[in-house]
Amino acid sequence: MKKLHFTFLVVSILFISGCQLDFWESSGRIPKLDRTDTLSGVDANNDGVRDDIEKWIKKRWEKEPLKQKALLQYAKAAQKSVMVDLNNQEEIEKIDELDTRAQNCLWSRFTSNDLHSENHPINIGKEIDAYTTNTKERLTHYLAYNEKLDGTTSRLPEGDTCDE
Amino acid sequence: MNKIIFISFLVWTLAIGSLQAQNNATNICNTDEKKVAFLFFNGVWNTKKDARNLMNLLKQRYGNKSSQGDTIVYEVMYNTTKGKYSVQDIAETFAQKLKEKGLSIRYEIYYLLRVPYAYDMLKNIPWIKEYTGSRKS
Repeated sequence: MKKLHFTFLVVSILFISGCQLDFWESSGRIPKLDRTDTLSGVDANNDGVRDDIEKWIKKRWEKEPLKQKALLQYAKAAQKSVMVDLNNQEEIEKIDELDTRAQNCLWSRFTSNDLHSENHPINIGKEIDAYTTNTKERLTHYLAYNEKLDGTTSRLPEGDTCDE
Repeated sequence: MNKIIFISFLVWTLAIGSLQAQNNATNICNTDEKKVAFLFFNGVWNTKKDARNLMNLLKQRYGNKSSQGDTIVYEVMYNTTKGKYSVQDIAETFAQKLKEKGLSIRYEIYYLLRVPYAYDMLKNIPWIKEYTGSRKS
């Protein structure tokens, strides 16, 4: 009972002081994010996914390997979009194509119809976007990348677009 | 904002959808196969991914074949908002808020506010309440 009161007290203090994100972070609900001042952040194993995000995906979805793979593909494409050379339109459009495929893969493996569920592809995708664009430089770069897509079209792909 | 996006989506979908129906939707495909196309002109305060997500919702609802057996294709025509109220301006306002609150390291909040369960947790923080309230007005 005392433990319950203590937990309640801690949660309340965190809530009142506006530290919900710290609480989520320490509980593992959201990743402990890389906040280095580079666009790329740390990707020690060079697989194209930032290590903090990769670690979180692998742990959180460890029992669902297909979803895990879809999220890694999505995170990889998102990571490319915050690192792309904004003067290279061809590269920007290539990354948009990768994004389209990764997004389609996500929709094929996260099939919830509940728009409030973390199993809904829109929500889990936005979570990954949030973590990928977690500094001013990364967010600004990502929005600029979107500006560069102005006037482009893309068709939702048919069939399986998952890499793995 | 969602209302604006929805209305923009609806207007364009209906307009283009009916045009395509009149033409049997063959002119954009260069094939003999009949196709129905949902063309979504979007980009008002959102990213291209957001636009594709909305198209995917539509695809989830209508599938790949029409009731007449025609193939349905879904295309996003992305046009960003320019000028005073662009996405980048909104992000800049948000950055200013974060700075005022001493939370400049937490830019992930920008997209987390668009995730319903995260928003439910964050919405009662006074400055977020104020920020999201001002966005709606």
